[in-house]
Amino acid sequence: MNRSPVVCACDMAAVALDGIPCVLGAVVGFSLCFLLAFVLSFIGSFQVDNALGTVFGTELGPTVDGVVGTIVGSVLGSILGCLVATAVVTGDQTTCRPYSARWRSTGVARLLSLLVCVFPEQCREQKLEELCGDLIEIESRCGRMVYLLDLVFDLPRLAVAARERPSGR
Amino acid sequence: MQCPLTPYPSYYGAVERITLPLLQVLAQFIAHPDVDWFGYRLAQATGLRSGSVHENLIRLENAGWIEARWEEAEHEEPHRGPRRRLYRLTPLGLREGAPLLRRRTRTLFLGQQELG
Repeated sequence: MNRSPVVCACDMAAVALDGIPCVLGAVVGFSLCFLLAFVLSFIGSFQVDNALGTVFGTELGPTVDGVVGTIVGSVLGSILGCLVATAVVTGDQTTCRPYSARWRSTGVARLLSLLVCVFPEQCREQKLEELCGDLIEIESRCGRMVYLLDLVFDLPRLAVAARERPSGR
Repeated sequence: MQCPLTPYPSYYGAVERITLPLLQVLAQFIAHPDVDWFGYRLAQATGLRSGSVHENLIRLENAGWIEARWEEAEHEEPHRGPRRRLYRLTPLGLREGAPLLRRRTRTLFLGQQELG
């Protein structure tokens, strides 16, 4: 099946990033997020100070509370940013063939491994691989989400079908 | 280990509950008997939800109307990615399914005519 340029680019990025250890990636990501959040918070607070100063006719200087609040906000913002980035990257990993050797450890595979618990024990591995194999074919993230949600909604019926046997035979 | 979802010979022959989604999935197999189908492609072709497609694939496989195999991986374990499970109509499925589909679609067609 033909792959879109986006997925091909994703594959190439996965190859390029494969050599970077996770810890180093997390440290770099956190530092960048912190820097960005700090700069944004500083600019934001400066603008608020200016606006308040204009309204009330007073000059507001930087206070200890303001600085601490900016730093705390930056830390929280960077943690949130890292979590979102991790979720996005984890979601993308299922589309990347080079990551295929580790496909069982992706977030989507872990979620699916919970879902396949409804199947008989001997079939879980097979169903997990089948569903992940299906997901790889879906190129849009939205499509993968819809696919997963549909699976979740139909899980009870899937469980019944997996366990039922034609009677009287 | 052999998966219990793989049909046993004694279970072959019939599908117990005939539903519209099952007929839709079966229709795709009968219309393209030489195509290797997999879950997502069937969901696209029929417009059904993925869960519904997989449910009916299990039921058709249990009845022996379709057979499943894994696609050939580019690399060996553990360097390979998740493989697709490919489904194909069996001779039994064609023999039993085609008349069933014809019968049921005729009923649907007549029902539609009555509705105007």
